[in-house]
Formats: sequence, C-alpha cells, structure tokens
Amino acid sequence: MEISKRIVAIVGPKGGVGKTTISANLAIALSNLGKDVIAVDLDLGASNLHTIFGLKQPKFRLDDFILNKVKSLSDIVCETHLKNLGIICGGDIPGIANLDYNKKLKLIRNLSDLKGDFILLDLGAGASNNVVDFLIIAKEGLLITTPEIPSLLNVYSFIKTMIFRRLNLQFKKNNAIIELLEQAKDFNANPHLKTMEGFLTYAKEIDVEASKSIEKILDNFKSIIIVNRVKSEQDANSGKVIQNLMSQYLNIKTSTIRTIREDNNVQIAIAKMKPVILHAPESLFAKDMNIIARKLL
Amino acid sequence: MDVVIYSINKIRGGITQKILERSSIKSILTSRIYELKDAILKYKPNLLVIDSKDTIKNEINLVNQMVIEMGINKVLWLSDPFVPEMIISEVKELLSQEEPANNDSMYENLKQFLNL
Ligand SMILES: Nc1ncnc2c1ncn2[C@@H]1O[C@H](COP(=O)(O)OP(=O)(O)O)[C@@H](O)[C@H]1O
Ligand SMILES: [Mg+2]
Repeated sequence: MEISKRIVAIVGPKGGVGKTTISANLAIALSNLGKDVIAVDLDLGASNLHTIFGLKQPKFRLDDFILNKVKSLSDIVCETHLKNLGIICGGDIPGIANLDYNKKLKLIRNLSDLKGDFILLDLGAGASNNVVDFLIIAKEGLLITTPEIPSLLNVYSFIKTMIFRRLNLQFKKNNAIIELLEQAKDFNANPHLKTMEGFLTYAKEIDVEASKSIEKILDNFKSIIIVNRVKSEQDANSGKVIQNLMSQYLNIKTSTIRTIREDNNVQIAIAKMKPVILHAPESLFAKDMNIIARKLL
Repeated sequence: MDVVIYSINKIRGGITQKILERSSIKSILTSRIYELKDAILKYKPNLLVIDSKDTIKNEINLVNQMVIEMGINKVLWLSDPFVPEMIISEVKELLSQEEPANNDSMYENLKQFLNL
C-alpha cells in the first residue's frame, strides 16, 4: 500500500443522516483539489451512491466482484465525468448484506490494493460487523451525525462497539485482556471499568505491554465528527457533546468537529440527478464540503 | 433589546418596528449586513426578524451564515404577503418559547441514555 493513500470510512449508524450525500460530494471536492479518488458504495443493503452521480445503469457493480465475475475490485471502477474520480457502485443481490467471512476478507484485501490518494467508503447504517470492520480497516473515519439525540447516541455507541471489536481482534490470544473486555461490557456490574481510563488502569496491572498498545490504538484512531444539517449554533455545538463523551469514556482525544449546514439545494440537486457540489457550487452545502475536503488533505 | 430587525426596505422595516413597539417589544432596525452584525454583537437579541424581500440570494446566505456563527437560535423570516398582525403574533410566540436545551444538559441527557 502506498504511503500516501488514505482510506476514509464515512460512518453514520443512523440511516438518512447524509453519509451517501457526503461521500459523493467529498469525493468530488477532493478530486477538484487534484487528488485521485475512488468512492466505494459499501452500503451492502441499500446502495445508492451511483444515483447521486446520475448513473442509471452502472456498467459494473460490487456484485460482479462478490460473485467472482471479475478478478479484482479495480476491474469494476466506473468512470465519472471527472477525470480523477472513479466510483465502485453498490450491488443489489439479496442477502449481500450478510457477506460471509471469506468474501469480506477478500473485499478488504482488494480495497487496500485500490490505487488512489483517497479511497472513500460509503458505509451502511447500523453497527453490524459488516459495517464496523470497514471502519477498522480504514483507520480514519468521518462520523456523520445530525444534531438530534438519537443520531448522536448511535454515533457514540458505534464508536464504542468499534473499539471493543478492534481490541477483541487484537488480543484474541490474550485471555486476560479478553476477559477484562468482557467485564467492561457490563459496566453496571463493573463500574470501575466504565471508562477506558479505568479499563487501562486494570489492563496495566495484568499486562503492561498490552495496555500500551491499547493506548496506541486509541491515539491512532483518527476521527472527524461531522454534524450535518445544522440550522443553528446550538446544532453545531452538538458535535462537542459526542467529542466530550468520546474523550471522557473512551479515551479518544483526537477527534475534530466539522459542520455542514442544512441546505435545500441538496434536494434540488438530487431531483436533477447531479451532485450538489456541481449543481450549486456556491451553496452553503458546497462551501462547507470544500472546507472539509481542504482540511482533510 | 429583544429584537433586531433586518430589512433593506425602509418602509417594511419601519412598519415592523412600529408594530413591535405597540406591543412594548423593543427593537432596532438595520438595513445593511454590517449594521446587522454590529447590532447582534451589541444587543445579543433574543430574536432576529429578517425580511428577505428584495434581498438577493447571496445576502440571504450571508445572513444565514451569520445567524449560525453568532449563535442566534430564533429567527423569523419575512417575505410576502406582509401582514403586520401575523408578524406580531409570530414574534410573541417565538419570544415566549423556551430556550432550547444547552450543551450541558444535552451531555447529561446523553449520558443518561447511555447509562454512563
Ligand atoms: N446538509 C443537508 N441539507 C439538506 N438535506 C440534506 C443534507 N444532507 C443530507 N440531506 C438529505 O438527507 C437525505 C438522506 O441523505 P443520505 O445521504 O441518503 O443519507 P444516508 O446515506 O446516511 O442514509 C437525503 O434526502 C438528502 O438529500
Ligand atoms: Mg446511504
């Protein structure tokens, strides 16, 4: 994998918070900044990334890869009207959402082999392993939320699930740590493990090396909380609430916050089957998106 | 100061201010973006009344952005038809509404939901 390549997962455990809209338009914004970008529709249950680009009948779909009709993922990258932007369209085979383990591994391997400066993963809703694992391999996540409480709650729970899964995978063979992780899941019975800080204190007593590598994992997880559909300062601030929770309870101190304003140009553009950033380049949405892209570089 | 009004139309702006005054609601009238900004900074109003008639889209975007950046929670947008009775009733309604929950209580709420 080239050093410069970055895989960024677009995560939003609640449906309809703007993952696909943001994936598509961020991909364009980055390619406008001269980056080679591939946007991948990994919403295995309800793919629709291609519709934002106005692609009615994509030439290839993820199915073709999953069903072994092509050798590698790079064979099914569809061109767009932008020179340095390709997309991998979602599949539509029933049951694809329950991707089996081997297929998932193959997909993950192929994702890492894609060529480009940015590989953006438009993920599905929910917090199943088939969603969480893609954030784990991406190493960078844009956590999309709206200012409403249900969405904020989902984002926090998702990150917690992801961290626990990540640690479970890492310490598969370390029984003591696995046991501690199990206990931490039920923090009513184990209030001392309610915070990651508490967890680390106990982990250190069991296994100093392990606790150090847990700290490293937490430090290395880069996340940007994107509050979408912001209508007021109050809304914009809801990102801080998640940030505080992540810092206080999960020891993730590296997150930053960005906001995207509510903008009805988004709906207008969808009706025209054109990405909003191309349809209305001066819109609030486009401006906010361009800022996010620039800061991502 | 309860309300800051923005209208580039002096007549409509003036009428709006008068009808508020009649209900003892103090307001200040602005007709330029920079005046609006200064007035918000100076008076920290509870409510903005923005008349979007004759205002170009760019300006509306600017005002929108300002509203967000300056943390104004309550905004009443006016356009046509211009009905003074309706304006006053909406202003009263908005002014009487409770402030939305602040960050701290949101944080506490989420913690309770998450059982933290
Ligand atoms: N900033 C925004 N302003 C207005 N509408 C938005 C904005 N972001 C997203 N939407 C709308 O929200 C809906 C859901 O967006 P979508 O990207 O499909 O969400 P997800 O992929 O998370 O399910 C779409 O109808 C889209 O037009
Ligand atoms: Mg989607």
